[in-house]
Amino acid sequence: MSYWTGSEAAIAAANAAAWAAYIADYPTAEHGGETVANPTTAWAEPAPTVAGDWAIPAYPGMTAPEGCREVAAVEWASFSP
Amino acid sequence: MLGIGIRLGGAERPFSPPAAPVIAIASGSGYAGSVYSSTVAGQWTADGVAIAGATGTAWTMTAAYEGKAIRCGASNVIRMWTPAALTAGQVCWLDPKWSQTVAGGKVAVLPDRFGLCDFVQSNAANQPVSGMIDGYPAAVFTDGSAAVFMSSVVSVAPMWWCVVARYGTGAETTFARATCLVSGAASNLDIRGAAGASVWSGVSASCVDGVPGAAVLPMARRIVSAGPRNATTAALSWRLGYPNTSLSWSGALFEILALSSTPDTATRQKIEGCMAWRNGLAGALPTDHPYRTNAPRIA
Repeated sequence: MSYWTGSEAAIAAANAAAWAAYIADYPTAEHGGETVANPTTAWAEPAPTVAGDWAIPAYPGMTAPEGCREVAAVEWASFSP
Repeated sequence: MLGIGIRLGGAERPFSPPAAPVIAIASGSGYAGSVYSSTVAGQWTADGVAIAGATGTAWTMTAAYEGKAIRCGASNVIRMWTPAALTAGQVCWLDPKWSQTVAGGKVAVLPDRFGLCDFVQSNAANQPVSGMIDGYPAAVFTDGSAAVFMSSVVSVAPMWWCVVARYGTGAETTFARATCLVSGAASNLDIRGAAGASVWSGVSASCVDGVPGAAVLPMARRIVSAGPRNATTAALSWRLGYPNTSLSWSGALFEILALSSTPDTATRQKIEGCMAWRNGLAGALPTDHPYRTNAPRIA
């Protein structure tokens, strides 16, 4: 597993691109034996890191979008148990 | 003795009306997968509504008909007990065996059997994996780059949870890190185990496989119930798991029930009996449990 990090705008764009790729890969869902449209509305929820940028999980098999960097781990900025 | 004499060809014979069909559970607990038999072939019905294609002497129960009054023609009734029979306190009842919405192998929606509060995860990266463990469908929460959790679609105030769950691989005797089975959107409102612990932290009425106060680990697939710590009657967003990798659930969920108050012992045992038989765990109940030998029935 890996992450994409970058500016808030870059990660928002990357998140939208990842969601588009995901929906293209999985356009439908199975519900009660019936095939319905995939109800998933986003790839991930971007969150800030301690480095001051933003991050989301990388979409598997997809190259890091422009303005984003792929990293193995992220230290999140906020954590409230 | 009452009887009607009918003279046919000079001989009087007693009139005997056709015997009503008698149905029984031929195999299984009575829940989904169990085979029902009838002494006379006829139309099988559920709550008085014909079951399509069910007209013989045998019929196999499915999850959709659990809890409904089953008959064959004018037979006796068999009705299994389910949480739908509770008269109050229902918050949600989620069960991948009954229904779930799966896209790309991940669970996006767990519909509530009560019809009150579905749990969803709209972000693909945060969705649990739809899996099959020990032959039972499950929502599998894996440690990864994103926290895996599902959220209630409406604010609710659950004060007691009963879950068929697995932690980790099922072999761990202590929690590797702090881990929330369920959590509310308020500070320390959850059912969680602390790192190194084998019991929940600060919960009320903890019960495992029908045994109050028992250690929750190892949890290969067990019936765990408890009231959350810092319980509040305020309606909040609730999550299966926790929306942060540092506290998220690591394991699988097979069935989830939440009520607005802690049930009395008799009701808790019915819930345990129902969950045990529907998840192949009856043998895990203590020998003096009222539903270790037979599943709970209404009729």
